Parts: sequence; structure tokens; C-alpha cells
Amino acid sequence: MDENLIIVKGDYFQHGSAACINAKLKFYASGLIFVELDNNTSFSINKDEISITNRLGSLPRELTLPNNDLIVIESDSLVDSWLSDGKRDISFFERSPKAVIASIMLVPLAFYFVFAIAIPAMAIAFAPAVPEWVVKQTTQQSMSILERTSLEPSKIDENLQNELKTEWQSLLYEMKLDHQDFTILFRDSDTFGANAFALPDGTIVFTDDLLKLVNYDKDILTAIFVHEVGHVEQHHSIRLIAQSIATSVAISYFFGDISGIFEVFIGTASTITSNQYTQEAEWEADNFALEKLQQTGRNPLDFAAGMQKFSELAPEMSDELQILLSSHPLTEDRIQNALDFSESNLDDLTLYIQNK
Amino acid sequence: MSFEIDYSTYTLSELQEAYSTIDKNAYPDRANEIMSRIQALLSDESNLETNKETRISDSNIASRDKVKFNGNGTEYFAIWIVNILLTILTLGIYSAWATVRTNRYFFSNTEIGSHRLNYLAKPIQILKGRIIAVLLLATYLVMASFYPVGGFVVLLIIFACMPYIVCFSMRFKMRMMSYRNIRFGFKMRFGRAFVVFVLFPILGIISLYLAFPWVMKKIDEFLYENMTYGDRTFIPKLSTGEYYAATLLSGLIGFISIVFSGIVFGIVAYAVNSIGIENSEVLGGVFAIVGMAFYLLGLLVASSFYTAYIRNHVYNNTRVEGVAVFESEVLTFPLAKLVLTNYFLLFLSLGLAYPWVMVRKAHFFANATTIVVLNDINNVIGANNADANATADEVVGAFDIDLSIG
Repeated sequence: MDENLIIVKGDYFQHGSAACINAKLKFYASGLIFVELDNNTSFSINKDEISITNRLGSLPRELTLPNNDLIVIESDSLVDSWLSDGKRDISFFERSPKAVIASIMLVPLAFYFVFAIAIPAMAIAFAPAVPEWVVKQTTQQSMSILERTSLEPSKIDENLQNELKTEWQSLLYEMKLDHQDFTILFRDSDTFGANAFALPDGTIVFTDDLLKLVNYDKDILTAIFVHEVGHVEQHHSIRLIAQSIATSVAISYFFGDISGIFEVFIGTASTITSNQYTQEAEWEADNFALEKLQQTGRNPLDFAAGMQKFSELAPEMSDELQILLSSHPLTEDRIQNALDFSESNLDDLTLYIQNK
Repeated sequence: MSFEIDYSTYTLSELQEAYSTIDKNAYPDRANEIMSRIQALLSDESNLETNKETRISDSNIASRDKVKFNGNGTEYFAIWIVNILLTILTLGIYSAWATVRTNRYFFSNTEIGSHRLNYLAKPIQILKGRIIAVLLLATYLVMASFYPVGGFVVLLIIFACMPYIVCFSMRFKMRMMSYRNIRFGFKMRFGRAFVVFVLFPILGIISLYLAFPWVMKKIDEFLYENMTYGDRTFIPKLSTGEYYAATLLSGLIGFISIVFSGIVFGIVAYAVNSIGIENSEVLGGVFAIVGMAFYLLGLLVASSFYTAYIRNHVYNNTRVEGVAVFESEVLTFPLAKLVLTNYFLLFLSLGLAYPWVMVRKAHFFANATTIVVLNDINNVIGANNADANATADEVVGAFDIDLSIG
């Protein structure tokens, strides 16, 4: 009697037939399989000639013969080691507690790396490489949609508009930027409220409400203008588009076959991620503005003063949730950042605003 | 204008539809052909009915068992977490292997009458489809971001391609599944798919959604009646009335829950206000949250009711010619409880409970399903088809067009 002989029971199906025949299989150490069927037929076959499904959990193993007949046998450690010749496959990791614990720790790290480091780095490299004509096209399309849906001609005194434009054009010259072609627009808008925004080709729009909010203070408006210039100069729009495309593709790739309630989490995670990206861009533009204001002999406190006006307009709750759910950093933090930059405190700011 | 119509691919209900709309004076030959096919099918049907009756009453039943799901959460967790890690480390390449392992885990752990389902897809098939799907998705997103009009055009093209996407992905899904060494399959009928997935939904919208339950029924009918097992076909006998009943009743549940939570919220708000309790704002906030919770629970019950009702109807009225009869008894409240607890599990574990959630779901639906396998299954012969391609399947996944055939 051969000690290495393994005997198992299995279900045998002939190719193209659903009829199940009971089978008895004998595995020999030499790699030979002897199959005895209930209908009194028997044959032998070598392990090399059959295809065997990988080990997975405790699933039965499926042995497909060259003629597409199928034998299904229960998985057990003896059978499995005979079938695999003792070689390790991926299921080795799946049943190793060490590998599983390592995975639990590495997966969040890996996701953090992909979404917080790899994708932003890729987007920063990609943004300046987008051809000028694509940027122009994109801007024109967005601008024409905005003009049609939410922007009206400005009701601000034309002289003031022209004064600001002239001053800002010479400031742009002073700042010595890569990008020179800026278009400054004033528009009335109910949708945007008090706001200023920059489009990727260098179009910068100020709303009438913003001018009213800061009492037509030119210094503050200039500070906000330089902030918007920062967005253009650092290709933020294109970078954010690239980041959001890459994030969507990555998320649908990694979690594509997940549906139902899990999508709620993915949606939330995706919103939070994209908020982190936009907050990052705001900080960069803020710091750009502060530096340029100082370089050109202006007062960085003007930026803090502008932010102060915003915070009076819409007081916000400063909690963790707010930080996650908002596309902009907390105004309070932005004021503090500007104060730190100019080595001042809130009292200095209050005094500065009063003396205006 | 004249062209040949192959009525041999039509089902009974489609033939009846065609007969009632055809111009019998202009096309007498066609009308006759349709009528004779209807009669032939009707006599087949009645034979089958009696066959089915005699078979079951003859206790010619191979097995009558609840579907058994043998997977367990802990085992699947290990597979799942290793899958995710390897997928990230290989920059996504491994995801195709991961998908195959996941699907195999769920299919092959599903046991019907002491035999398991088998999953046959090869990773390379999945990988090819996945690469194409990602490229398509990226193209769409780039278009939509830089040329909003272009993005809209891409969406229109996808909508127009729906019949192909549905047919190819269904065929892939079905072809990759076998039971007792016999493959399932799906008959691709693009013309009918165009009618069901493009024209009917447009009709549904034009009718101000009044026709939508009927559209849903037509969609389910199309999906099931084109499924095959070896040389046998699936025969669904669905009723439009049941789809309307499911829609109206679940709508009613949703409506009642909205009204109820509104009333509760209103009464409490009024009470808090009139008594003038300190911190009434905080208290009001708490009750707003309670009202919201009631509302969400109501919606959960409504959607569970619909899912259970339709699943039971479809399963209880579908059979595989001479091979199997299905019975489904999903109950609304246990289903709602499952969904709710799964939601909490995911939330509290930050997603790590996902494998247990999936296994719980598989257990639940298996437990609610009984399959009567008839002895005639031994005479089923495998049908030979060319290999299906995973592309359409992946496109569906990446664009998140969910076809619920659970």
C-alpha cells in the first residue's frame, strides 16, 4: 500500500452535460490521478494535463480535463498541497495573519500616498503643460455660460473701474510674472454675491457686491486682485481640473465594482479630497498675494482687512467639520496667516481698518 | 420601403404587441406569419405548462433546497484586504485578478441543490475591458471639463450605445457563470434592446413617469427572457400590475413617512416654542435630527418594500424550461434591517466592515431563495458560443449604469 496515496470523492461532469456522476479519485505521489466513475468506467490522467482552479478560501477545487470534462472536489490541506506541489500562491498571503495585518496598515498609507501625494504632484506637473489654446477655449466656454446665466453689466462708476484697471495693469508689470495677458472685468451678479474669481486664461472678475462690501477701498481690492493673480500664475484652475479627473478615475478604478451604500462614503471622501485640493490652492494664492504686496511696497494687512470684511459678512463656525466640508480655508485662519506674515496682531488690524 | 423581419426571435408578448400594431391590409403576409407564430407559441406554452405541472406533481424533482451561501466574512476580509493592497501596489493592474477572485468567491460559495456555481472569467478579459473603460471615462471627464458641449455629446453617444452595452455586458456576465459544467448565456437582440433601453425610457419620461413601472417591467422581462442555461431558456411571466402595485405602495410608504415626520417635527417645534424652554434652539435642533431620521427610515422601508416585492414577483414567475423553478420570499422589514445595520457597520468601521456587509447580504438573499431543480436538468446540453468580451461590462461599471437584476 502506497502511503502517499490520497483518496477523495468528487462530482464528475462530462463536457456539455449537466448530469452529475459520482467519482472516486486517487492521487499518487508520482502526479498520476486515477479516476473511478459510478458508471463503472475508469481512467488515469497526469496532473500536468489538467487545469486546476487556484486555491481561494475554502472553495472546492475545479479540475478541468483536456476534453473539458469537469471534476469538482472538496478542498482540504492534503489535497491542496498535492495539487500545488507545495508551491505558494496568492492564497498563502490571504491566510497568513501577518500579511493580513500588514495589509490593514498599508492600505490606508497607500491610499494616502495616491490621493495626497501622487495625484497632486502629477496635476502640478501637468497644469503648465496644457497648451494655451486649450486654456483659452475652456475659459471662453465657461465665461460665455457665466455671462448668459449669472453675470450682468456692472453698475459701478466707470471712472472707478478704469482707475482700478490702470493701476492693476501697472502693478502686473511691476510684479514681473510669467503670464502677462490679464483681462479685468467688473460684473453685477446675484448668484456670486460679494466675490472675485479668476479663469485660467487670466480673466479676473470682480462683482459689484464685493466692491460695496469693502467700501470701494482700493488697497483692499488690490490685495484681493493679487490673490486672484496668484491663482492664474500658479495654474490653479487647470490643476484642480486635472486633480478632479485623476481622482474620479482612480476612485472608479479602485472602487468601481462597489455599489449601493458604499457610494455614499466614496462620494463624501471624494468631496473631502477635492476640498483639500482647493483649500491648498487658496493658501498658495494667499501667500502669493502677501509676498507680492510686500515686494511691491504695499501693505499685506490690506489682505487681512479684506478677509475681515468677509468674516463680518458671513460669520462661520470654526469646527473640524467645517474645515472638511468647505472648499475654502477658514477665514479666521486666513486672517491669522496674513497677520503672521506682517508680524502683527488683531488689534493692529482693527486699528489699521479704523484709520482707513 | 420593405425589409425582412425575423419574427422567429420574437417572444409571445412581443408578437402580440406586433400583431396589434401592424397594418393588416398593407402587410397581410406578415400579419399571417405573426398570427401563426402566436398560435404555435401558445400551444407550446400550454404543453410546457402541463409538462411543468406533471413534472412537479410527479415528484420528478431532483432537489428542492434553499440556496446556501457558504462564504464567511472573516475569510473574505483577508481576501479583500490583500486584493486592495496588491491593486494599489501594482498601480491597478492586479484589480483584474482581484475581481476574478472576488467574483469566484461569491459565485462558488453559492450552492444550489448540493452543487456550486462556477465563475469562469479570466483576469486578462477583465483587464482589457477595464483599460478601455478607464480610457473612456478619462476621455469623458477631460471633454466635460474642457469642452462642456463635447462632454454632453459623449454622454449622448453612450446613451445611443446602451443597447450594445447592455447586451454585451449581460452576455459576459452570464457566459462567465456555469452550473454543473453547463454555461449560462444571453441572447443578444440589439433591435429589441434599443426599443427597451432607449425608446421605452423616453416614452416613460414623455408620459411624465406614469409609464415607468411598465418600462421597468419591460426591462426586467428583456433581461430575463434572453437568459439561457445550456440549450434551455429562461421564461419570465411578469405582470405589469405588480410593478404598478410595487411602485404605488412604496410611494405611499414614502409619502406617509414624510407626512408623519413633518407632523412630529411640527408638533415638537410648536411645543418647544410655546413652553419657552431654555436652549430651545438646541432642543429644536435635536428634534429636527429625530424628524430627519424618521424620514430616512421611511424611505429605507419604502425602497426595501419595492426591492422585496419586485424580486419576489420576478423570481416566483420565472422558470428555466424543464430545469428549474424559483421561489423568493424576501420580507420588507428584515431587508430594511439588513440595509440599516450594514450601513451602521460600514460607518462605525470606516469601511473596514465591507467584506462582512457583502457576506451578510449574500446570506440574506440566498436564505430567501428556494430553487426547485427538476430531473430534466440531466438532459440539458451545453450551447457553444464565442467568448464574450469584458469591455461592455466594464464600461457599464465605470460609468456606473447599474442594471439591477439581483
